Amino acid sequence: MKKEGKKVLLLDTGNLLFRKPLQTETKRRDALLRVDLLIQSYNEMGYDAVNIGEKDLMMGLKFLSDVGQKAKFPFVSANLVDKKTGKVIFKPYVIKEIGGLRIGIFGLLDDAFSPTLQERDPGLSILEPLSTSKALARSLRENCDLIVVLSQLGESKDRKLARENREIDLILGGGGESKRAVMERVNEIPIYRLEPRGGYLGRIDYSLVYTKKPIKFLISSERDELEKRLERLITRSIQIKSDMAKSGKQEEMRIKELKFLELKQKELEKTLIALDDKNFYRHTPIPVQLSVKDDLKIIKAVEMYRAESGKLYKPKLAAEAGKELPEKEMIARIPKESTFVGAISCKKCHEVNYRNWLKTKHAKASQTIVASPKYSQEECLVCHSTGDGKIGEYVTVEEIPFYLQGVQCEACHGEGKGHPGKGKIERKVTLGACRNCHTKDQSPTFNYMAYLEKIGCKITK
Amino acid sequence: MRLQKVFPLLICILISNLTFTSMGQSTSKVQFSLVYTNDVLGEVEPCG
Repeated sequence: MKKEGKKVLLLDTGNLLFRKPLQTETKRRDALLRVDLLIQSYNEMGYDAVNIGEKDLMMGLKFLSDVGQKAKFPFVSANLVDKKTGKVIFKPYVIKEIGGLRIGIFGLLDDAFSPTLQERDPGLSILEPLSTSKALARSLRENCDLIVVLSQLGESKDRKLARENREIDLILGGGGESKRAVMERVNEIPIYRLEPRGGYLGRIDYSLVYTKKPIKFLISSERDELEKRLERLITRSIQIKSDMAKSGKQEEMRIKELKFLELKQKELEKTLIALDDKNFYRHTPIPVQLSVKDDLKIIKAVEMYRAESGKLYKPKLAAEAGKELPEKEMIARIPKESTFVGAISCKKCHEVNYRNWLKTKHAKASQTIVASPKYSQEECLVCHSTGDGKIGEYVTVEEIPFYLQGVQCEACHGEGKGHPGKGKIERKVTLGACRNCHTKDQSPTFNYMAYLEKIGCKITK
Repeated sequence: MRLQKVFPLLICILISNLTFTSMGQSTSKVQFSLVYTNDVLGEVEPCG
């Protein structure tokens, strides 16, 4: 991409490699495969700089340095230093030239993480990020037109950074405990971060007429508001047109409204064009949806990862497969203290429903994960088993209790202990309950009524 | 992160960016995009 001189900078604010401590050897090996895949893909996509986050150091400095050797992009961190010498371990910043502008990019790590880090890597230290950023931004300003911070400080410290450092032009955030996206301006400095775990790309389009330092972005809430109004008008117009197409009727009131909207739309567009000779930027979060076509080279690497990852887990599962218990023994083995009683217990009174359920995808939901190389991902188990997060945290399929495999009756109707009688069973399963798992992303074709038919509970013969 | 889908998205951004740039050249604008990710957390294959 860069060889072709295209004007895009690709950045990552850190916490790229790991999510949580790797408790077993299998998980460690799987995580290493994922690290290889990530680095390979980031190389392919041509990332320009990646900040270091706390979680990237989970396997120690040496590991990250070795990973850095494989990366074609620089890892940056302005405040991760050698404790003895006080010198930075990675590049503190990079300067990228784009469209004739020089953009200084540096990374910051939260020093609240320092004690844990020093326990793991006693030779490392994290400098106080705000003062580090002030000194670095001042020196970069001499050579750079814009300064971008890749931050792992978390939301509140990002705001503090913006309040105390006017030299910065943009903060791309990350880190901390927050899982929400941030799009705000503090002290005229935009701060952006996306929801974690790679579901989105953030895109900031810059359009500059005046590039003399210091570059000011005159675009403000006025333009944003005009754009929002324009978007609302367009959305309403589309809705009216689609309603008319559906009904097949050309209703006079709707046609009048449509004409009015089109007139307003033209006026707004004119006003926006008049603002066109100002410097501005626009931020857009882009969801990485299933409908986006796969890149062939990267999907090949993903498939190789799937195959290798699958080898790590599957032998263990093969041994588990034969553990089918007779019904009576199964019921007898269900722990008395468990609030979940298992579909096998429901069978006693709801045999037809049980038999219908056995034929559904819900019944095989845990096995679906086994069959897929992705099954090692514990977050999948919340929706591919029963009782996860309520009677325990399942990490792998093997950890699902034998009587709660698949999406059983209690996953939708609630815990069965005490039923019939004083139990908490919900007779009617609401759309909201289904939507816990059948989200727009995970289940784009979900239709409440149609899916209700599929799960077999309504069939009583 | 669905890595295999991120790359095509980037290409789309590049194309729209180029179109935008060529349109803006008459007024000698500097136009470019920053694309970023944060806290990917080792995610290579979300459920679903």
